[in-house]
Amino acid sequence: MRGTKGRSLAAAIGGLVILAVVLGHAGFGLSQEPRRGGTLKVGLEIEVSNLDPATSAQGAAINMIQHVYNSLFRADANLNPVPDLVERWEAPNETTYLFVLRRGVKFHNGREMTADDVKYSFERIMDKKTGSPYAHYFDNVSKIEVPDKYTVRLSLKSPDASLLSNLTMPVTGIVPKEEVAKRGDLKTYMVGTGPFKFVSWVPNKELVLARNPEYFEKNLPYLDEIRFVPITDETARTAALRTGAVDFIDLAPAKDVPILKREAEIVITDGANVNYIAMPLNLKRKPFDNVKVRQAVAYAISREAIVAAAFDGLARPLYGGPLVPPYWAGSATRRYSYDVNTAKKLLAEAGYPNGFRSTLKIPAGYALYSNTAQAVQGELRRANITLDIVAEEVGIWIANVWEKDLFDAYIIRFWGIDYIDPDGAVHRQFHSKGAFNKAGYSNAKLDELIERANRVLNREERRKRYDEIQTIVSEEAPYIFLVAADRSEAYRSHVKGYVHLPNGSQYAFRQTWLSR
Amino acid sequence: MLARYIFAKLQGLALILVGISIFVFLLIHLVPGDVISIMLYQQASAEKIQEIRALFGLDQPLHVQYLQWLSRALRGDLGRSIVTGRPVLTDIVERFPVTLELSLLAALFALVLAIPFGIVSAARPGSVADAIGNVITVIGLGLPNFWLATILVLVFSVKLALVPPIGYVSPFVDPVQNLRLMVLPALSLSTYMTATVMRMTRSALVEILGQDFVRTASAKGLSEMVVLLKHAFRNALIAVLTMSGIEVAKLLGGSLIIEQIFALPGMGRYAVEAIFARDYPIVQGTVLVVALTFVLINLTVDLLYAAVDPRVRY
Repeated sequence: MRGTKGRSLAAAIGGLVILAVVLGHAGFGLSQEPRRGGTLKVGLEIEVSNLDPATSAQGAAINMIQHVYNSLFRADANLNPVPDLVERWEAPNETTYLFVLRRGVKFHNGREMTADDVKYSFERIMDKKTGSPYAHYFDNVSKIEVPDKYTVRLSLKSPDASLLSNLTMPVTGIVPKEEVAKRGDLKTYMVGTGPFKFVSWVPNKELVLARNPEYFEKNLPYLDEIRFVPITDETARTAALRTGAVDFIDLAPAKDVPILKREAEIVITDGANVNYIAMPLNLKRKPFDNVKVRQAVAYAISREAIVAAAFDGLARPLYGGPLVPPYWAGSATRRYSYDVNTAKKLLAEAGYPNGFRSTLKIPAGYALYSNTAQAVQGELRRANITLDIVAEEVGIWIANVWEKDLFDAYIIRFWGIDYIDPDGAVHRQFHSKGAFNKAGYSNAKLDELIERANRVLNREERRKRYDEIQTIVSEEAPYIFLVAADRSEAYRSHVKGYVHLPNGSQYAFRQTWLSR
Repeated sequence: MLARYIFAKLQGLALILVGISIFVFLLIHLVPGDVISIMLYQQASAEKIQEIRALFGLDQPLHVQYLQWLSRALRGDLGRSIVTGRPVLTDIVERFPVTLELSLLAALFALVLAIPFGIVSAARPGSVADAIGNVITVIGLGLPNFWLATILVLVFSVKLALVPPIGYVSPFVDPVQNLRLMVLPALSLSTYMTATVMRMTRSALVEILGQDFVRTASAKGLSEMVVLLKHAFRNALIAVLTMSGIEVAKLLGGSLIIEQIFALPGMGRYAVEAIFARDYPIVQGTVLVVALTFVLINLTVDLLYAAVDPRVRY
């Protein structure tokens, strides 16, 4: 009896050991510790253009900025603001914020970052002479004070619910005054507090970042170096990943996702991305001045067909407002469905029983816009709506549509570089004085709702306001909301620790490591 | 006298460059769309865009802006890109050699293929070689070079893994790798020039071979090779040279699409992207350099005429 028990025990232990070894080798992570070192080669969708946080307006550059600079806050995986350079904060009342900064955070030039740097960086954005398009983030700020070396006090004119989200944006990154004074601007040289230091940049060739050994987050980053190469041609970018010429591409072209999925050595991330693609209509022109016509258009387009035809299946339909779950301010409510009969009925009621003809203007040379436009055109034909697609060269399109309001309809995309706070998705687009309200939509009740929603600090309360806003906006349809496009990254399987974020950023590089 | 000829040509060059720069300046400014609104239309309000334009001096009258550019250009300062802030001259100095190498390699591939085939086609019409030459010509004229480039990448880089698909390394840093990376793009770029030079070689040679002096040379007992190469082809060389010069000059303007596909940091992409962005200093600077190149190539071809044709005297 004794012998049998001992033998069973030995067998059990032996089995467990074998199991552990097998599982460990199978990569179940039982024994995977992040490995320090190595160079990550990244293929970029587009060459970065301006690396200065205060003035850069390009998504790729802003993603680059967040590796080298820190802001007071950062956006977590659910796009909520969490402290980054701030150690703790409090709001003694609705119009005052006290930010206590981390101590011992060093700029890459060796100097410690203090509250004066925060005040300087913010005032630099607010200064007209800087020409920053982000000055409006601070429209509500009446005073920035530095009560002590590590504390910043912001005084606001009125409550601002989007303030903390705005302070997560890399463009509000903290910069050292002396470097700006030395160089005039930070467009071509980067000095921040971030996990990676700027090494060199040869435009259209390579931008190199190296580990900041004094980064304030312990043990991070793992990588020695990141090399960014712009590969604008989609096929070339995919080829570079497949051959291993690069380890990571920041945008996996939708058409290549099936090919990449078939390769065992390549990982494709989830595509969840906070964005919306819509067709703004010119409410100052017939027939779009009539809400029934606009609603008819909304009924006549099968969003699923758009997803299939223009996005290779990699997008989510928008039948209501622009913000949908899992985004916290999103609503699953659908105001419209695909219903050509209702569309025709509404057109008849509006006085267009035989449909109508109009134009759809897009900037030439962008597959996103031309594919979407063609798909929309195809859909609307079934309701006897003929949209002639007019493709104009980018600069001319901007001058016509954006400056002179010379359009009937166009296609636009707003995404995570433009907003992670719901105010950014609706305020400038639908408020009657909104800078991007080219549709010409004017609704005093909506204006008030939008302003109020940005003063409500309680998140649940705020979400209800945005539900109301979305209800009005989808009902009145100044924009026809089409889809929210997916955006995936792809990388080779030896790249570990990467996490996809829904604002299109590669913030996770600071925790990425290479298994070989 | 040769020196006087060259000098006169160079004087004309200065006038040409100023004229072109004024013309381009007007064009790029009068076309709708401006650099700041293109950069910031989705980030900034119209008022903010106007403020930023003023910061760059873009609200000043056109002639004031041009004269500011000209006075700096004459001192060798081509200004800074409005979009990136980088000095334009630095960018051009980095990019132009890439385009130069790419163009010269493409021209080399083209000539190495085109001239022998052109000669054989002219000398042996209807032969297999002539047929091959015809096929090459048709392909070269008709095949889009970006399509060929994509196919070459898929076959040689992805499937066969013989050469990397993208990238550029300076020949001074690693000549072997540089050539490996340039082979596919240069091949893709060479197709059109191969076709045109082959056609020109053949038709020029055919015309010459029909002339009396060729019959005389044959009658004298000279071998066909000598007649063909030493006598006939040399006379065709003027036409071939002219064609080649034009094609090389075109290549030196830079090929946007090939540079994009192979991620080459050349002048083509630089200039075209700047035009779309209305990045005025880059447009002015690159046009200046390309115009200069054109004129210098013309001058070189003119001088080569003198080397090739003893009847040409300056």
